[in-house]
Amino acid sequence: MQKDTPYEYSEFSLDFPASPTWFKTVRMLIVSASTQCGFADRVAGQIAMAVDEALCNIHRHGYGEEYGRAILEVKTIIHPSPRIEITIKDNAKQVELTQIKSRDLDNVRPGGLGVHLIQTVMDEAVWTKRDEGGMLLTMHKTLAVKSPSESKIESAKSTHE
Amino acid sequence: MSDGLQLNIETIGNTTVVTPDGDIDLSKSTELRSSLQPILQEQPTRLVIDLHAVPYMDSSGLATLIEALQISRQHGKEFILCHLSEGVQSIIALSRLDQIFKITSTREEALAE
Repeated sequence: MQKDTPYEYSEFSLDFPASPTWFKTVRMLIVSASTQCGFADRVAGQIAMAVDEALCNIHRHGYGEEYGRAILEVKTIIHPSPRIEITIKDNAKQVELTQIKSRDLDNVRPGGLGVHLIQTVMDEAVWTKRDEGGMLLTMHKTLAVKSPSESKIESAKSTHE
Repeated sequence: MSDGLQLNIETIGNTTVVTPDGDIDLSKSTELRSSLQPILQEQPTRLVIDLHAVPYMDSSGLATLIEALQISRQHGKEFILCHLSEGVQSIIALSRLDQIFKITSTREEALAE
């Protein structure tokens, strides 16, 4: 029987209501896709959080908490290094790109952390206005590959722990 | 699709311990905020939020905690987070709020503060 190994490359898309009741399902999908392509559970959880924050912003600021849909597209690559590419499209109100920014974390107040979290977790996150209306968020993350010497040091450390 | 947020509320001496159970995301944070409001107006001088049973929290959950912290300070109450799950630890660290909140590893430590 053939061993059940992840595909080298996989992709899926999901067209769903941009409603908080769906976001947990989406988070679970992202965690699963991320771990299958090689990210650790902790990092997979953070990638899911970045997607969740993006969806929250679409629901609250794009659709004004009214009904609207989002299309999520996910591509994962295993070699040469685990990588996940995620796009989220919506048909919501377009937001001025200059308004999408991380806030000063020293100013402790409720709200405004979503963009900071997305930009901190992902290697890159880019928002653009779609020609046909709505917004497009493109983001990706690649697992940093350790050099053989770094791997040896880490292996030695774990042996001593 | 969305069940209500499960909350256990205990009063131990001058401390109220709130233990939410389940994810605190956009669909639940308003409920947490509504539940905390009356507690923040009550007499106990210390409010402890035990987060061991919250596997996931988003920025709306964090916003609720920041708001509760600010109201607690206004009323001269102590506000402590304890027993954080890995998921909650992660978002608090990423937001650098670990320097803002008083956080203890266990509920016992929070009660002994």
